[in-house]
Amino acid sequence: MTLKHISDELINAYLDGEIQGPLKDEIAAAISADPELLASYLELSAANDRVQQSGAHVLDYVDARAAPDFGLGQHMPMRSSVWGSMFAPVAFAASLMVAVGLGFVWGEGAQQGGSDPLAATWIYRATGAHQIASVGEAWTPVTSLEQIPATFSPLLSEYRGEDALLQLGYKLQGWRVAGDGHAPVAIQIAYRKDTGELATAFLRRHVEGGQSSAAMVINGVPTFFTGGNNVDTALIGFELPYEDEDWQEKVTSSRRG
Amino acid sequence: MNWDAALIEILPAMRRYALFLSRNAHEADDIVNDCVVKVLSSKASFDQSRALRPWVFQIMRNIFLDSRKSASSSNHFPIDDVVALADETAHLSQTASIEVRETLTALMKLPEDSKDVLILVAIEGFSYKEAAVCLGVPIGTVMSRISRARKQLVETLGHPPANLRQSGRMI
Repeated sequence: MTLKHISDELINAYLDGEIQGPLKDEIAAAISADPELLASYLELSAANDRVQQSGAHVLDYVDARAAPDFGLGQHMPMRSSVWGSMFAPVAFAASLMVAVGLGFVWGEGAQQGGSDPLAATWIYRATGAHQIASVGEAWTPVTSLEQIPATFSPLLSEYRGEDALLQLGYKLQGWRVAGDGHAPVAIQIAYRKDTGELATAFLRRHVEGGQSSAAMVINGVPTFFTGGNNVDTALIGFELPYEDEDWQEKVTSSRRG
Repeated sequence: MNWDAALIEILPAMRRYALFLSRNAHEADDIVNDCVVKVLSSKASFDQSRALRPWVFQIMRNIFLDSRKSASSSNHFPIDDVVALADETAHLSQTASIEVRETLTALMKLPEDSKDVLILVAIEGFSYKEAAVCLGVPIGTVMSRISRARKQLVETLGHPPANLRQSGRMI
């Protein structure tokens, strides 16, 4: 397939998860390879994110209004806790491990273990911002990662990626550069609620293909993934808990920076 | 199938969709009520191999369209509660509040056919096939309407900041 054959309808179908199989991979590769196509895709995706968030707001409004008796004898169901459904997927985490053990790697597109669109939006936008921060730079991990405060943070903010988490009551705790014992491999960001719930996100750019991938771990459970090789990224996050002393020091250092 | 339980589960989404259709909260609940009555009275004819939500939403949409036909001769201009509710955003940041208002305004200004399909797919999470069933159109029509709707939204809501579109930093 050449770029000429990727119609607007097809890009939208890809965005909506309607495309499966080899065609999905071909579209993903084409989008990654063509800045113009990537720009178009991200514009559509951003517009879609906004529609979804507005839809969630309308649902809040509907939920807040007393429901008439529709003859169902209903007690209006409480909406599931924003994060509640995320803590369930321990089995999902287990299946993740199995998937990795089988050498299976998810492709493009967000994978969700939870159901909250705001957090999914954040992880998607963060990946986009990370990709922007990296594009055009030679892949030198340390240099790229050292751009976190100077480049990545404003980009993330500009894309309102953080708003999604802030709306959920999370506050930024800090950054660190996560390594595998040999070299930096990912940016690690932590957010925490006043109630103590912790969300850590891991973003990394891969040498091959130049893609960024991201994973979010909610209270120790890998929950959202996006980008290529995202299972790999999720595992890095899963294995680097926030309670690591090294984390605290580097967060402080990063903040001073 | 426990029909009452199944309907109660999707009731919030039904009320939201009815609000998007009618733009008026009271009328929306009337639509939902009529829909529930119709669903419960038609359940014997429902093919249980089909998905429930597209069928229910299709009924709701038909009820709305019928109500519009009968109201067309009157001077009935409902308040647009969908956009007005964006003002009730005390729990959102100022930026998010503005964004919700802008988005809902842009969404509700889309042509009806584009708006309908975008709400079903982007907000209600319908597959293209389910949306096609609900709207009574071919899947190809859903695809073209989705594409048209998002393109118009991008034009209305704006593009990414210019500084990110410079050479080599395009996203």
